[in-house]
Amino acid sequence: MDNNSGKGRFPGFLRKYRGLDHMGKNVTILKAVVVVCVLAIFYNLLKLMIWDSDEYKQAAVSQQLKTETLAADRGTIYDANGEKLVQSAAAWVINLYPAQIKENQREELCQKLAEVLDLDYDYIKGRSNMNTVSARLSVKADKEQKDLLQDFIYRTCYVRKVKKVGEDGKSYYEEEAYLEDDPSMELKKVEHYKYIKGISLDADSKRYYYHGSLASTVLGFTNFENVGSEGLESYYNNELKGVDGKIIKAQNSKGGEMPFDYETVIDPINGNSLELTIDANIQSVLEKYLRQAYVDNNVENRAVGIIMNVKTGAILGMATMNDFDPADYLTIRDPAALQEIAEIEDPDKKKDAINTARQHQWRNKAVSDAYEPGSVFKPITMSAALEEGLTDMNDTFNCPGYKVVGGRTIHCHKAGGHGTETLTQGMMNSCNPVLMTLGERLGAANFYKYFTAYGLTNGTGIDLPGEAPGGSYHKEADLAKPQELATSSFGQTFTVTPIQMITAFAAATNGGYLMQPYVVQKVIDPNGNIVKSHEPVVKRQVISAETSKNIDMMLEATAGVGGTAHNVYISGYRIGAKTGTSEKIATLATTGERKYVASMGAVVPVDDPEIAILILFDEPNNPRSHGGGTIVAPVVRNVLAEVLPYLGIDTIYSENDARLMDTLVPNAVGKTVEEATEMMEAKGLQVRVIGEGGSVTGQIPAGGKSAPKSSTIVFTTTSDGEVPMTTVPDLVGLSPTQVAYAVKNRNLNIRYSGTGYESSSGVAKSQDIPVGSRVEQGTVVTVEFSVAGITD
Amino acid sequence: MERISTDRPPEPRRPKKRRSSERRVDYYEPQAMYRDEVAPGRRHTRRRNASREDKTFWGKIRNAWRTMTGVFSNRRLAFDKPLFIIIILLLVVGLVMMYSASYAYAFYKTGDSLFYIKKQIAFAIAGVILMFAVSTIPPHHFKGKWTNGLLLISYGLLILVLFLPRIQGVRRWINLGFTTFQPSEIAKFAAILWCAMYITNHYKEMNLTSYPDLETKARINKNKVRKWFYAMGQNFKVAVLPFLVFLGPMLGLIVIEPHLSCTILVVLIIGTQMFVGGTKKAYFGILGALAVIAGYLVIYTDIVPYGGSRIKVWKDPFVDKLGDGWQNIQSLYAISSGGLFGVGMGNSKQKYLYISEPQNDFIFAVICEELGLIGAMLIILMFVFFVWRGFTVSLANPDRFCRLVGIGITSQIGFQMILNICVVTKMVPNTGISLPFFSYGGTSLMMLLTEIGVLLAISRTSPNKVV
Repeated sequence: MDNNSGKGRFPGFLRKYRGLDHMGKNVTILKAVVVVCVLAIFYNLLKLMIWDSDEYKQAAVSQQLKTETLAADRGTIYDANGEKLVQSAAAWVINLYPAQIKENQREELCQKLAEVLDLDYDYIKGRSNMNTVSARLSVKADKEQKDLLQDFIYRTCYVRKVKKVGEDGKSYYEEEAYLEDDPSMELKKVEHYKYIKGISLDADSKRYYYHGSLASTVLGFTNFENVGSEGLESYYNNELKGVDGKIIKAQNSKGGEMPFDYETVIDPINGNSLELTIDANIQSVLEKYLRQAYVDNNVENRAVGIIMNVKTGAILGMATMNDFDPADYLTIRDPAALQEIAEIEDPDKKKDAINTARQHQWRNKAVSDAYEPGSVFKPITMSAALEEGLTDMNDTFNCPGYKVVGGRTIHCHKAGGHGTETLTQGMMNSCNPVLMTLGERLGAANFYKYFTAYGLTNGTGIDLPGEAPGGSYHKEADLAKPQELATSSFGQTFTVTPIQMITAFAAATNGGYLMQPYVVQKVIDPNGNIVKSHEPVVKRQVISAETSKNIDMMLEATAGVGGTAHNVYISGYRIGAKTGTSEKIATLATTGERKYVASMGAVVPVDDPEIAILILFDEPNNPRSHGGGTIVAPVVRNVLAEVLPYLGIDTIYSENDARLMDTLVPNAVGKTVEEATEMMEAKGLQVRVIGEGGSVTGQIPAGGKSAPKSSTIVFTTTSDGEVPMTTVPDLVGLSPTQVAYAVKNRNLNIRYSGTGYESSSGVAKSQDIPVGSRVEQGTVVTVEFSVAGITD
Repeated sequence: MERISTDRPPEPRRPKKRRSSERRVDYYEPQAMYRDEVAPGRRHTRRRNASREDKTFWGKIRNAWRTMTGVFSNRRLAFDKPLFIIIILLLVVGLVMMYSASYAYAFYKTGDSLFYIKKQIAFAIAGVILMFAVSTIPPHHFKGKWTNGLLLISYGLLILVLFLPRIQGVRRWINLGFTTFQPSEIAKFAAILWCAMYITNHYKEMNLTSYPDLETKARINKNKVRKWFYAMGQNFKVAVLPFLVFLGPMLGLIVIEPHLSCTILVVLIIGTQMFVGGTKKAYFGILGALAVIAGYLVIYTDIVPYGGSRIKVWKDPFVDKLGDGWQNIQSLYAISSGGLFGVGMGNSKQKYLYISEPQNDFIFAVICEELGLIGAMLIILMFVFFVWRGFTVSLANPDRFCRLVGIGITSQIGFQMILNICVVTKMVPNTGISLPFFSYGGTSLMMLLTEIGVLLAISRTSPNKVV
């Protein structure tokens, strides 16, 4: 082109052709080829880098970025008093990478893991030999265990690089680490070197349960991935879990990090906390007695206890036995189930059985399982009849022991019948014919109207998962049959869940308001602000306050002398209660076995109800009885005896009660007999003096001790101050009158406990001082009574 | 001290004696002129008779040194500055990009980020020295025994390499202990020289426009078609057959190494020389048609199994995403990530083990990612400028041999660049061809710089300085 050498000069644009021979022209063509190629390349680059770059760019970004999750802290669960029940704490997931584990370290690693984590050695060994990239251990390490393992894995090592040749002929470098320095090799000392290969500890969290298995069926648990699986953890999972944060980092193709400041951090939003209506103290009392009763009565199909605030619907305690340990929810607690599983040989069936048993123990029976309520339902029918004006408190009924309905004879539980009785007596006796009569008067439509109004055809809407859906409830059409209506009127042939039953029971007694039961009082965000606060929800007023009052009075009578629920009686409290024993008709029809559900509902205090309690045993196997009045009532009584003072419910004592109440005995030793007698009588105590002396030298019960007000204090005026001895008689099995006589005969004092000692129906169950013991006269013997032979 | 004044006028200043370093040494000897060639002017050159000193060993060395030191100051000795600048620019940019592309891989592979760049810089320095040294040798000296010798040596090495153990599964490299080198690199240069020499010696025969023999063969002479075939036949004898005879076996040896990309490159270089030298264009038409047919057969049928799978992966690299398609996919990812301005120097993410051996054949993908479309285009334009300048300075040299050698070397580098970028951007199947100045490879870089040295020598010995 610029080849303008030569003698002459070419003018202008032609100059470039001067001196070009064929070769020059050919090169021009060559240049054109190069230009065309380069233009093609430019076009392709434009297409790849600008016009169509998105797809590949996205793909590149997605392979280059590694997202690490910053786990949000799961919310804490507090009880009604702000006491922590469940809290998340840091834990570490242990992953093994079988292919990376060094053969000479495998044994050591497995043993260490077994020792630190308290796991089965064979299990870990199996995991470490798995044919997968990674194998996770089923247990998370806590801080302490993690520290132990880290010290084991990371040590001060002496490292060198060794060149090796792989199978493909390419060479690569590998690090070799030694615990000891070896001068013959050039080793570099590295602190905190990952000496044990093939294991990683990944930060995670786990739930920590401050009260062990307390309220486990209500709280539920979180699974290995920290997702709520049962109970509140599941129902409120979205509130509790929070929003996980993220760290987005660049990674190379081997998954390693790149030395870029390319890091985007999205902070996690921690989960909200829950404040429950459940009070840990009440719950633990409930569980204590329920657990004992579950064992004592050999309950086959679990026991349920619910305590509810009748004014708000707040659940104060809810327990199901057998329960589980939420920190170790996979372990089956029920020894019977374990026994059963151990006997299964087929591994598949065994697995199924284990799963079934686990599901069973996790299930919150209080809301998930329906049962036939039996006689506890009777107040509901009665309230309906009263509300509709189909009966009144002065109404009288006759019970011949049976009633013929629709051509079928339905018996009362008392073979001979209760004879003529008022409505209240009908309730006290739990008389089926009375209820059948009322049911008949109500008719199917009215019965169903109240059945629905009491919320028994729908779920209660409690904030717990797995509330049994409709279907086990009564349908109006079924009630068209007279027998069906008759049996329904005393709580048979239909099923409801315990939570429905206690809600309806509470509605019948609290002035007629059907409340929505709830467990969570407040949802609190991580900064302590209240996100949600549960206000009591009145679903509807089912019956009038007056009718409700009447029901309360009848229930109080039932818990009183002569009532079937008298075993629940606690002096000082006005308790209304109704027992129930329902036969499981479905079980009878299918297996021919007679199985029962024993239950009791109670409400305190009847003049202005505060709390309701429902306890039921599904299939108790107590040789003594399967009746609610006999086996459930004492449990209810024990629970209430502790819960009522805790709740600060006022005590009101009747005159008789007041007389039996304990009082502090003043010290009269050293005083004159007259003075001492005056002192005791001021306290309402009686006095018996032994000896001729003028002043008191000894006294039983001694000063400062407490004794029932009905006691007789024994003074001695002899110089040695000793009170004569006497022998404690055998009191168990005697009636209250007989007991009083026997104790008086031996110059002893008695403290009544239990129920039924005011009437002839009571029987002494136990005494605190053993038979035949030699004790001083005037000593207080505590005798526990209970009402025997109750049928409902 | 007394000063005696005289009336004698001052002596006229004698012309200053030239210092030896300023002596003009002319290596250019005008060659025989051809009918269509402009006679080279002698305006810029002045012959100096070689003294006896110049013929001694040390004299030659001294002259070489003077030549080397005179390249920037002495107009006649200077090599083409734009060419020199673009070469140095390409070399420096190439080293910088090679460092950027290689350091992550080097770190993962050897633990030393500087592993590759250190070696490359060492070779580059050696290569530059070699370049300067070679640039002092007048290229027409290579004609004759040098060219024939180099051809023989490369044949010997190509045969030798077949008996050496395979490295990475192929017999391309000869291991010298401290480094490896490819005989095909030398063979390429030998082919360039041989072609240039042959064409120079037979230029007239190759470019005949009239055939005296035809006067006696009226049958052919009267028929245009027959005449055309006759001319083709005559041309085949002098302009095709000798190349097939002398260089065909070389291609065969490179094919069985196997080294497909090098074969393609050698074919392109020889073809270019023949094209420029006077082989009838119809042969290139025929060759092009054959190539299209062969390409069609390879791409759309399963005749060649080895190439076939390669072609298949080329057509859709995602069929073997983690295997053969990996490199292509990662390359495309890198290129597309670049955008207009790139992610910035050193910020490529695809070089972090995504592109395997990013310092080698696929370095251009990293360049695209880091420097963007603008940077990539600039680098291509630098190559284009180099090619342009290379052709220009080659043509400026009146010596036909020098011209052809210059065109051969320039086109080799140009084609290598085009092929490499076409591979990286998935325009042609992956053949394993490196990017001159940029890809890692010590001996290859040295060979390249040696050839550049020859190109510089061509520019320097030309009396026709190009503006």
